This record gives sequence, structure tokens and C-alpha cells, in this order.
Amino acid sequence: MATVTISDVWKYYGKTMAVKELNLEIKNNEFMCILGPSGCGKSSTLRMLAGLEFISSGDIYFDDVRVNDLPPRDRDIAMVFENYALYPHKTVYENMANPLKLRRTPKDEIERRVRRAAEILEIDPLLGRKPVELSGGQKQRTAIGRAIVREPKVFLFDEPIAHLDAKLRSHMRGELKHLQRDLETTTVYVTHDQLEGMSMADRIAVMHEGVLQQLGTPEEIYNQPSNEFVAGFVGEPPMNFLDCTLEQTNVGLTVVHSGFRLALTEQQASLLTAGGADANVRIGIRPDNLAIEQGAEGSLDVPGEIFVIEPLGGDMIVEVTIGSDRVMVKTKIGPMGGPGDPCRIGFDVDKLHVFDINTGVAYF
Amino acid sequence: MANIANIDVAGGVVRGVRTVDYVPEDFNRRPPRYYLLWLMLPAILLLAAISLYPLVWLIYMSLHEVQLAPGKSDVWAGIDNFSRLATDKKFLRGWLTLFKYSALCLSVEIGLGVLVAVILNNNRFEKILVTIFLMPMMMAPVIAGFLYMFLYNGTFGWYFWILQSIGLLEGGSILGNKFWAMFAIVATDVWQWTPLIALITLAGLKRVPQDQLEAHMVDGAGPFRNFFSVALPNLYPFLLIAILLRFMDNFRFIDHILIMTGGGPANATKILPTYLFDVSFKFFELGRGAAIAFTLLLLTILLGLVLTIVFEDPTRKLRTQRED
Repeated sequence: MATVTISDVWKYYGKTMAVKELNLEIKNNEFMCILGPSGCGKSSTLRMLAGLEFISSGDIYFDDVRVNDLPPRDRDIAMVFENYALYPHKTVYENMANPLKLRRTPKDEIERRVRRAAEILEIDPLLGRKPVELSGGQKQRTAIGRAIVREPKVFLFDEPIAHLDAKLRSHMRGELKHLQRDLETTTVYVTHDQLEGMSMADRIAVMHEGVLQQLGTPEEIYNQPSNEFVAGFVGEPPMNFLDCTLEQTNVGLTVVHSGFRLALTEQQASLLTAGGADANVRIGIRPDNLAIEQGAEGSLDVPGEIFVIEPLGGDMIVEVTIGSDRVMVKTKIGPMGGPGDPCRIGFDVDKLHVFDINTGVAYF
Repeated sequence: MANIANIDVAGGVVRGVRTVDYVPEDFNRRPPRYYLLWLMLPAILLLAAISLYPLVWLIYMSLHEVQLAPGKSDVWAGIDNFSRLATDKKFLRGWLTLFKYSALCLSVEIGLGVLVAVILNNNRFEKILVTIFLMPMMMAPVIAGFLYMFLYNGTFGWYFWILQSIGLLEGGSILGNKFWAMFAIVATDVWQWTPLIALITLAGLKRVPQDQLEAHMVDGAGPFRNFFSVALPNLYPFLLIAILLRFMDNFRFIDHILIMTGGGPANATKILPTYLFDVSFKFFELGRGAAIAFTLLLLTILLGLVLTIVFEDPTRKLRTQRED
């Protein structure tokens, strides 16, 4: 229960820059996800919050207290590590009791809190076991248990479910989110998996190469990506990017590609003009926002040729060649022909994104 | 290959076509025992030549009164050599002195070695410091003995001078003093062999999982607590090896003592191996010497076994189970 303020924080390892001028405010009881590919500085940020890494420059505040020089034990945090970091010579109970023991909590209080945490996490039958006797999921629960026995100011999660198998991972996503709501504790959650960020977080901070790219709710990150990196990183399958030129025609500003022409809305046109867009731009559109129709004749505007079809059970992803480029289309499963067959594609122009071709910054 | 069939195809035989139920049993079958014996034979022969043959001789000698003069044959003595040891005060005192010496060396070396390893670990100058630190170990023990003998010398020895300057020593000599002599030889052993312990511990420290240390820090531990609760349990197997090595070494090591005190003054540093040396190579009672050597050998093996059994890492059994 604290607000966390990261103010102008830089992190260098020798001469390598890991985090650049990071400013981030995490609200009380908020579930903040720091999302990014490996090497983007997200773990460094978390470790600086934990006090496991020196801050090269800048300040970190918990509420109004500057914590730069406080060792981890004085920061009142709890952390769950990627590899769980359980103590192999201690039982599950002793592992979970450790933070309380180190803070000289009375024995019966320790007993009460550990049992309660174990009940919440449904690991109470395992309390007498050693970590080597646990499965991955049980280890992970123990590690979370060790974090929640105390009532820390901040929870720090460092990719806690990255090593679980896919099914357990999707189960734990829900559990963790529920737990965080229940415990009402400020949480910083680091992950490279955009699905975890989208499904669990109140707000997401997307980082890339040490720089904060965008900060916003999952909905904002998904629908209004601030640049090409965020647009491409979030969403599965990823957004389609096509290099186009802008032309002024009698129906207004038009996007011209070797395979199609798209008239933009007036609002989009004015945003591009206001942004001072070049004639060459990159457009982005999510696979969900493309419609597809079988056959060479049809109501949709853009002719294409099917490259490959990937059925996913209920949905399917169709890769279609349009002009010199290839796009992915996500649609309900149904008859579609096969590779080489003609098809027609429809763009949902309202959902179109346009990026500067050099800087990657989004116009909308 | 058992299941490779020869199949007739249009009059010709096609070799090497596998049948459907092919099982590569030849790869999975354990080789027969005699095959393993052949593989081990060179090692067994070498071991027999350098170790078993002397052992048989040792037992033979311990049961005889060994004659040195040419032409005279050894006299059967039964267990006389052994039964006489029970009343040999020097023999019993030798054991006590040996235990005292070994315990002192081990405790100081382990404590100091671990401390040095912790300081060296992740130090900016770790590599160069380790190299420098290993130098005493490279020195021949006899030379180390001489070096320390000169350092303790009452006329020009630096250590003597330092101890005298700070008022710990009034006069006389270090190695000639019944109280100081033991500490003097222990100090020499510590100087020469602490680096070995530090090296083994340093290797162990590299294997202490970083995330456990970090988790423990987040849990609320300071650096000391962190070391004792997380690093030390992880160091356990390494320390056990270090202790075992040094303990067995101490039980046979006489180089420093022979050079510096020869067991004196007044037998204050006469550990059992030194006494054994005296009996065998000063008085040439080879049969009796062999009996002493045999008891020393037996007890070394026995204590080594006890050490490994008693101090066996309790989590090892669990750790050897495959992790998921």
C-alpha cells in the first residue's frame, strides 16, 4: 500500500545503458505491468525498485520516502523471482515463514499467517515438503506464498510464471489477478509476454531498449499504440505493417499501395496534416480488422492471393499476398480454398494506424 | 543387428532393410561384466603396484621383527608389535598431540579460508589476488619449513622480532618454548594450506545461487544473515571436501615439524607421524614402525568414513532426485 515514483532514473552497467531517463508513477494498489522484450531494461527497473541494483542516477520514492540508499530489507517489499529462488534446504513452511522469522514475528503469528497464505494458494498439504519434491506450479505458489505472508508496501514480480507450461500459465494469470485484487497491494509485474500484461494489468508500461515507449491501460496500449514498436509488440498475431505513399485525390487523402488504394477519413487526414506527415508512410492494421472473402469476385475492395491458411480451432489466420506485401487476416474458421486461390480483402479504415516511416511514431 | 532382415527383391538380396518391430537392443544392453573388467584392468594393476603391494609389505613387517643386517631373516613376532603399543606412552601422547595439532590447523584454516574466499569473491582484483594467494601452496613444504624456522629464529627472525616488540614474547626462543612451539608449527601449516581451503570455498561460492541470496535479502536479511543462512548451506559439500582433504593430509604430514622442531621441545610437537619417523628411521625398529603406521592408516580411514557419514549433506539425497 504505497505509491511508487520513479523519477528520472538511469541505469548503466559499465558503459552499457540499460534504462534511460525513466519516469513512472505507480498508483496506490495499482497493478502495473512493465512489458518489453528481453534486454529492454524492465528487469533492471524492477531490481532497482527492490534495491538489488544500484541506481546510476535519478530517484525512487515509496510514498514520500526516497529509497535509493535503503537495502532491500528496509524497503518493505516482497518479490517473486523468475526461478522461484526457494531455499532448497528448507521446507515449504520454512520457506514461507522466512520473511516473518527474519523480522522477529512471534511464532504463533508466523504459524497463523503461513497457514492462511497456504490456504489461499491451496498448498497447505505441501507445507512439510522440500522444494525438490514440488512441481513447477507448486514451487511458484510457494514463492508467491513467501511474498504474501507479509503485508508489504509493494509486490514485485519478475516474470513469475514464465517457466510454467501454457495451460498452468493461463490458469495462474487469473489467480494472480484475483489475488492482487484481494490483497490490495501495489504491484509491479515484469514480463515479456504481452498476453500477461494485457490480461492482468491496470496499466502497462511498454519498454524497449531502456526507453519507456508508452504508458497506458491495456485498452489504450492495444488501440492507440504510440509508435510502431508498441503496435507490433502487443497483439497476437502481430499487426500488419505496409509501406505506402499518401496522395491527395478528389475523395480526400488516400493511402496508395502497390495492391490497393484506401481513402482516409477526414479526421485521419487532418491528423496527418497536423503531424506534418511525409508522402511516404507505414500503415498498420491488426489481423482482426481485416475482412476476407473467398474468390476473385466479391464485395470487398482489395484483391489478393492466399499464401497459407493456419486454422486455430475456432478461428483461422489466413496469410494473403497483396501486391508486393503479405498480410495476416484473422477470421472465423470456414471454407477458404487453399494456397494460390484468389480472395478479396476489406480494410476497416477506422482501425487503421499510420506511422512515420523513419521514426516509427504514430500519427494515429 | 538382430532385427535386420534380408528381403528377397526380384531375385537379388537387399541387405539392411529394417523390419517394422525394430528395437535397437544392442545399444541398450549393458555390456557384460568381464568387458568392464578389461577396461578397469590397467588402473587396477597400477593401483596394485603402487598401493596394494606396499600395504601387504606393511602388514608383513608389522607382524615381524624386521632384521636390517644382510642375510638375517625376519623373525615372526605375532601381534607383539601391536600389543606393546598399548603401553607405549610416547605412542599414546603422539595421538593426543596429533589430534590437538589437527584440530587447531583445521579450525583456523577453515575459518580463515572461508573468510578469505568471501573477501576474494567478486572482488575487483579477484584473479590477480587468487594467483598471489596460491603461492604458498606452490612452495615445497620443506622450504616452507625452513622459511618459518628462520622467521622464528631468535637472532634474526622477523616473527620473533615482531612478537618481542609487541611484548608477547620476553626472550628465549619460539620453537624452543613448549607452549609456543605448537602454535608456531600450526601457523606454518595455516600459512601454507589456507589457500587450498580458500580456493575450494571460492569455487563453492561461485555456485551459490544468486537469486536465493537476493530473495533472502528481500525477505529481510542483512549480509551476515545472508551468508550464514543461504551461502553456507550451499557451501556445505565444498567445505566437507576441504575438511576431508586437510584432515587426511594433517595425519601424514611431517615436513614442517621435522625441519623446525623434530618433535621437540620435550615432545611438545611430537605428533604421531613424527614419532613413527623416529621409530622407523632413527631407531630402525621397522616392525614396530610398521605397526604404528598400520594403526595410523586404519584410524585415518575410519575417521574419514565417519566424517563423510556424519556430515553428509542432508539435502543431497533429495537434490540427486531429478528436478522436474
